[in-house]
Amino acid sequence: MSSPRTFALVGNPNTGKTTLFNALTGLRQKVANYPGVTVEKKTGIGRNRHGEEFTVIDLPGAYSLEAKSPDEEVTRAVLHGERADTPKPDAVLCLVDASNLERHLYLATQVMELDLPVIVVVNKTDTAEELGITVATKKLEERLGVPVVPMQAHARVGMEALQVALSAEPAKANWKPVEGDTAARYAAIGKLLEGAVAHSEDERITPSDKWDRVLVHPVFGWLILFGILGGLFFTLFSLAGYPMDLIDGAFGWLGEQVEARMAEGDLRALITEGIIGGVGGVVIFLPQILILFFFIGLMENTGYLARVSFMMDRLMAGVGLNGKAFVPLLSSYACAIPGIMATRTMESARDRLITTLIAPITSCSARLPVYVMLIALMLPAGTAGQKALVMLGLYVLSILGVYAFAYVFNRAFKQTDKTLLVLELPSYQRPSWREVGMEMFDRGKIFLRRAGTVILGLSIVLWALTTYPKDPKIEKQLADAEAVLEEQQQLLDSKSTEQNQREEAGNVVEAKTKGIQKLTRKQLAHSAAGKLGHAIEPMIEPLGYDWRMGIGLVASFAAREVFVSTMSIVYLGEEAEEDSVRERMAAQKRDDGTGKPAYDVRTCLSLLVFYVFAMQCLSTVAVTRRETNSWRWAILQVVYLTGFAYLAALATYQLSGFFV
Amino acid sequence: MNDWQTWAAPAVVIVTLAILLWRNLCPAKEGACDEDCGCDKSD
Repeated sequence: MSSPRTFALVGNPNTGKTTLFNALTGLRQKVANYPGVTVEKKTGIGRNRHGEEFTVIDLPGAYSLEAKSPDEEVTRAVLHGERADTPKPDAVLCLVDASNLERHLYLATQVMELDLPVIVVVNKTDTAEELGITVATKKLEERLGVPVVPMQAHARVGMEALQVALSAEPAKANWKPVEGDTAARYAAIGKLLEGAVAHSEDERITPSDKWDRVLVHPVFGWLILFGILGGLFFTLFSLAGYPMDLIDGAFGWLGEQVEARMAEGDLRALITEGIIGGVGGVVIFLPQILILFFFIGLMENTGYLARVSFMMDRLMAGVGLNGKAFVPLLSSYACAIPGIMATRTMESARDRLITTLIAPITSCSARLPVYVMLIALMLPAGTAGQKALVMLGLYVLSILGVYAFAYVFNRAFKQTDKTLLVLELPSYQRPSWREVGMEMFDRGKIFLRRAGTVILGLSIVLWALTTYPKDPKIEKQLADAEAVLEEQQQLLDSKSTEQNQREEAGNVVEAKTKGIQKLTRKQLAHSAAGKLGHAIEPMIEPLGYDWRMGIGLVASFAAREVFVSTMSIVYLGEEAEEDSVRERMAAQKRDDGTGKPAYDVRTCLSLLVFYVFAMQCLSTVAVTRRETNSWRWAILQVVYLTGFAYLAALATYQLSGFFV
Repeated sequence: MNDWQTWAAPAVVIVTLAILLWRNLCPAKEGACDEDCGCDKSD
């Protein structure tokens, strides 16, 4: 049996390549990296009309084969068969935009000159029609001698015709290589398109143009954007509560099952407190992650996100950054890692470096659990609207941070080259629920995998750090107290116990429970994590934090959301009667004997500001090192972000004292 | 107090620590994205 045919998917950015790739391959996709470079390699398996499988390689978007960015270089090398890790494609699917055929054929004609069979896909014919452009694909097919398929990949219109083309023997295009410069190529393309593309006489105002008058308006545009973000955060707080309670209940039930089936001991504590408590503390935020990506997916799918880029670009120029930096920065709102990887689309090495350095300031989704927990602690009686407002404030603060540091780095690093941003605004369209769903599924999968791997591992290690070394004296006292507690509890539960005995037992249970909480606190202070927390306490005290929060700060250096799982481990057993970690945290009092809550408004604000800026993500450090090929920049990133986060949190705590 | 649990728990911790270190320090698999966030590690 012969090996399946390999098709490379080639086109300019924003042509709908990913949509077509998803339509062809469904969920049978694999994402990895091209070795040596941080360029994403996406492959998938499709099936043609004869039921035969074929492989599709989704190559990075490129404007031409004269590679300027690392992305374009990969596309060029794969098509030339120069990459040992990727087979030379058997044929190329050239995706071109019907509304801008001339410019898109620039790349397509270069591909045709590579002596590879080609199928031309003319996408977005609906958009072209709105603009009064009609493309006679049959005419182009006759001239080129290869299939030219009109499509609306977004609505899956034209898939049948494409399947027919994919099932036939691929052919090489009837296209003579162009000799000469860009002008010569455009002249040749003009000749090819002669009589094949018709523009209507009157200049049409499309529905997209009408929408744009409002949505990218210098004043209304921003108001609408803030309204949308406000709505998103409101939904996060108001709607996510129900599924969160369900997940919390499920993990609570799981812990009870383990406790009922296992004898008391260290391993049981590790499973219930470390694993179930730690992982459950993070997984509970899955509904919020899904809501966030539902909104992002919707904004991207309808074409609105490109408008946000456009509006931001005006601001980017103000701090000397190329507008292309906005795409990586936008990706960083999901996670800084793909964001930093997306800097590869930028031609200027200087802009790439600046964007990489500032990307971790954008509020990635890992911060969401921390924000949600702290905001709920800060405003226990607050409405969803008030909480959403604080969340919006944090996002605005992160945007301000991005701009401020972009400005600083722009001044610090000399500008050697200047590149222009060419941003194509796609037409507005109805969202494809399937794609939005796929984005949510992918993100949810990544979040859960992270909870099941990195967070699980760190939770286990953290449990050990908060448990060992044990003080034998405290252990003995704890065992004695627990034995008495159990005995008295049995008395309380027994029906034959008399009233006065019952009252006495109740008093003992209360006293012993408090005693156990005190001993647990003592044991935590004696543990490795406790000692570390105490060691850094003088440094973090001016920020309003105690040693337990210090444990959370140090632990979450590996990953931000670990702060949440750390807190659920640190405060476990301290307030046994309380259920959720948030309730336990809310019940915490300061150690200074004032009886004030440990998590008051000032401390919560200070922690929130710290997490807006701090570089609490080891994976990002690793990616920065790889991307910049130097530890120097990775270390600079950690030092400047952590240092600034410390100062900003310090200022927040101290200054808020004047108001709160 | 169960004795076997007293040594089993640290054993689980040591194995976890070893896996974490191995995952982070071993050379990346050819073609894998070696990230735990933002890209599918299905390779």
